[in-house]
Amino acid sequence: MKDLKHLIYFEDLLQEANNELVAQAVEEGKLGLGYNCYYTPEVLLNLPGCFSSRLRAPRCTSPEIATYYMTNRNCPYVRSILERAIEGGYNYLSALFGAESCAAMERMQEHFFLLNPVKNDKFFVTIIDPPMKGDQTSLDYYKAQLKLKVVDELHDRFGIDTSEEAMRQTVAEFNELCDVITEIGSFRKLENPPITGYEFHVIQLVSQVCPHYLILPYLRETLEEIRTREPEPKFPYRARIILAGSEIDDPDFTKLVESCGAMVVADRYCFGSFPSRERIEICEGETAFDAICRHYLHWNQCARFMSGDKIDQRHTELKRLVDEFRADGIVYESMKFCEFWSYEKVLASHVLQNECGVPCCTIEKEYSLGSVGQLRTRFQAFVESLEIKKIQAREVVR
Amino acid sequence: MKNPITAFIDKKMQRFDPIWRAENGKGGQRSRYYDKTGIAKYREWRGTKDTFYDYLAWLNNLKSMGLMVASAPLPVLKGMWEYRWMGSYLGTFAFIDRLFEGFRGPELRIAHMNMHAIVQSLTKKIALVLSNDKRLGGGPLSDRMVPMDEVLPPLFMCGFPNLIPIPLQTLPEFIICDIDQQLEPFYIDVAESFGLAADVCSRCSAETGVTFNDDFPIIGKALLSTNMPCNASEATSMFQRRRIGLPDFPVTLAMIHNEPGAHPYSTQILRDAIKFIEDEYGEVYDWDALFARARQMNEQNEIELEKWDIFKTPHSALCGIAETLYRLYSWASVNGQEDYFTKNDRKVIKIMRRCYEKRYMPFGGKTRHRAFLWGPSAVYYTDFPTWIQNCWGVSIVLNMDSTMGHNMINTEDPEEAIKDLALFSEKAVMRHHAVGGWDNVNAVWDWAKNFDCDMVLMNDNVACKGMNGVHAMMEEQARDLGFYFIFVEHDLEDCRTVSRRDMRNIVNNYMSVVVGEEPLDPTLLDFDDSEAW
Repeated sequence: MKDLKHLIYFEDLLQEANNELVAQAVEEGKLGLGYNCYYTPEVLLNLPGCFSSRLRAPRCTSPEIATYYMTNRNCPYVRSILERAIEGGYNYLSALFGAESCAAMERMQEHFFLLNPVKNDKFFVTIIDPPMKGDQTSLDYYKAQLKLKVVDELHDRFGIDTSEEAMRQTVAEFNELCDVITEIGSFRKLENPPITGYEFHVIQLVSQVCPHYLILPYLRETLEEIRTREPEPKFPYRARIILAGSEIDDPDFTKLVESCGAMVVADRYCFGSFPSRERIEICEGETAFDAICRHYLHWNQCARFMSGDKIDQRHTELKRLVDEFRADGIVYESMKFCEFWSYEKVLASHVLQNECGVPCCTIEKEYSLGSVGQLRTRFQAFVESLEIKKIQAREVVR
Repeated sequence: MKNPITAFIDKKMQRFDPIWRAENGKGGQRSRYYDKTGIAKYREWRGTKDTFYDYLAWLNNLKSMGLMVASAPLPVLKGMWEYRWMGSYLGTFAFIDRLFEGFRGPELRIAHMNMHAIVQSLTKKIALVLSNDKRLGGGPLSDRMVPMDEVLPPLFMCGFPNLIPIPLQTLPEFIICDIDQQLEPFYIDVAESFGLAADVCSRCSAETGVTFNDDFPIIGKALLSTNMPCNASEATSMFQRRRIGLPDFPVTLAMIHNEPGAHPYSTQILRDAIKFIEDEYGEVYDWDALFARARQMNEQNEIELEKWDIFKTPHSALCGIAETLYRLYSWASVNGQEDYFTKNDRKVIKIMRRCYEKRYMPFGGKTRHRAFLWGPSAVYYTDFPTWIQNCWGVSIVLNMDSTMGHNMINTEDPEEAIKDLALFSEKAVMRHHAVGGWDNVNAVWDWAKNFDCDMVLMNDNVACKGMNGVHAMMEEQARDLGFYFIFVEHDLEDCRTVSRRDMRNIVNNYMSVVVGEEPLDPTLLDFDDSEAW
């Protein structure tokens, strides 16, 4: 396929948290608001005068100071984020809106006020206590937490307009971004898609780490390009897989999977587009804020949800993606030292394989792409097993 | 005034007293044991009176065990056959002996009173559960039992007087791991054989192994799980609900529980849980029944607060593991449900008051340091506080988990009572200070100062992501505030990762290199007990 016009530019934007577009937005007087987790609604951080910045620590391979603070027995993602903060990589931030999504995440966010690594006079941190169920009591608590620790903080500290009108306008702009990403992602459903999993991963990431109003024109242009892009004459991969699990913000990981012969047709992991790019619908009689809270609690697929309906949702959603994107299998990953996804990986691979008939390969990974040789072998073996299953299925049909 | 006959016997027999032997360079506590094992060649000689008392306490515990078997002979036999963990309860006597090594006089009496309270309660619970376990054929009370997560305080369930809340994990995991260090590694291996990562908390990994191995008794009609205390505990509930197969309600109390917004939410969650039980069991919540039990809990907490006042002095006859284990069991598992514990508390506080009035010095006044034990402790080394007292003269004044919910529950107004219960329940085992934000962990320094401690022992569960996340901050705080501070590394339930011996060596190195002291009993300095229960 012909290279995408902006791909190299997008890749460059992913080299630093404080990239060209972030710097431009800050220079224009916008407030950079950091977050780490889907529990903090991205849309709320894009109210007028603000832009969201989902925190990554690109090219962080040795988080030594953070390891001193949090030990080497803790999640490499959170250590890398803390390391990058200590290095001064997030000085553009005016606030960090954290979530007690897991213990490691909370501890990392606490270091943002204990050590004051972000050199910005305006900077402050709040941490919400996100619920673990999807029922009404949990929704009420979620709303109360977001109101108290995000909306009111933005209004009181920075004078941000958090009115209904401003929220509706923000939701509309956010939906536009979601529509563009969703349409780009939907090309992956085609038998021979005009986009690779790697390219989509890059596009999805830039949409999360760059100010929306600055990245959107590039994304629109990319969508137009893909609409008319000629795919390879023949589907160049041996299998189609879904990448699922915990945090992945390194597109090279997707590239590694695809280099083993499996196209990543859907991304159901933290930083992926499922969930994150679903349209927010505001029902009649509902405020925009209530709609945002309902939307995020409903679509959230985090492994920390404990109620049966939300546990089942994680698996049925994956099965839906398998069917819609015609995937042959799922690579289920968890970040090393991640308690939640370590457990969920065991449960989900059992449910998906034994109850839904979807082949799964479970792996554990570091934040920075390491142990490539071992992972490559696992992926290659998985792709082969998928091919064998296909051959056997064809023989049964004959 | 000492009886001349016992004084004569004590004089003649003192060479068998390990404390005397250590003082006189003729051996010590560890000399009694066969190498590598927890098997003693002979019982500890503590003087005529204390040895006799200790033996009577041993017989009293044996009586409780006998009553358990006599009350449900067939279920107990079937339980032995069905469940791997049942066999480990045979190690109870060795466990108790190990816990109270070096205890004499009032501290020995209180320790045995507390321990017997646990033994009599636990044996009844084992008999009750096995008699009604559907895996073993069930019983008349099977459907009146409510299995609930061990770290969810069961006090609020007392509003259902016709139902029996049973902390599900207590028998197969929560208690037995204290008694037998060799048991849980089996369950951990079972969980890991299904693909669970080896770096998750070993307690939750073991719970998952118990689930996979079908070693939970099957009781009740619906299950109450919880998000307490931490991430892995939440995650293992997923497997339990699925494998046990009962309708479940996760009681997800606020994680960041020190903020005003948390309590209304936790209160509503408790209301939802009560509604769930009403629906599933067809019962109506009885506030008067709750108030009756809450009064017991309040009295226990009032006595506990008085105990704390005495702990702040060097004259407390309630020490170390006798305090820790009792508070853990009486709070987390009993939680106001059994009158025996209130009565026991009344007796214990009387002895403590007397000792304080006499300015009694426990352990012969050999305590050199007063330490606050912080963070979740290694359950495979329950007698660690006893060892550190006997070896280095470090008295564990109070344990983090002993500070669990000690607010009083309103016993007149249901609206106020449920709010109090929410606050009480939020501050449960391994939760009050280990989760919910930095301030909770950082509170240790105030606690240590208030209890006149010069040392903080920080339990460092190698797989606890939350506590690992404050590692350096705690170390820096200790340095700034001038406390002796030891990270005691352990792997909670897996003695293979960090053995008891490794834990001792960490302390030994600190005490000899940093503090520059000599051990009280050199036989306890370095020994191998890897084959012990």
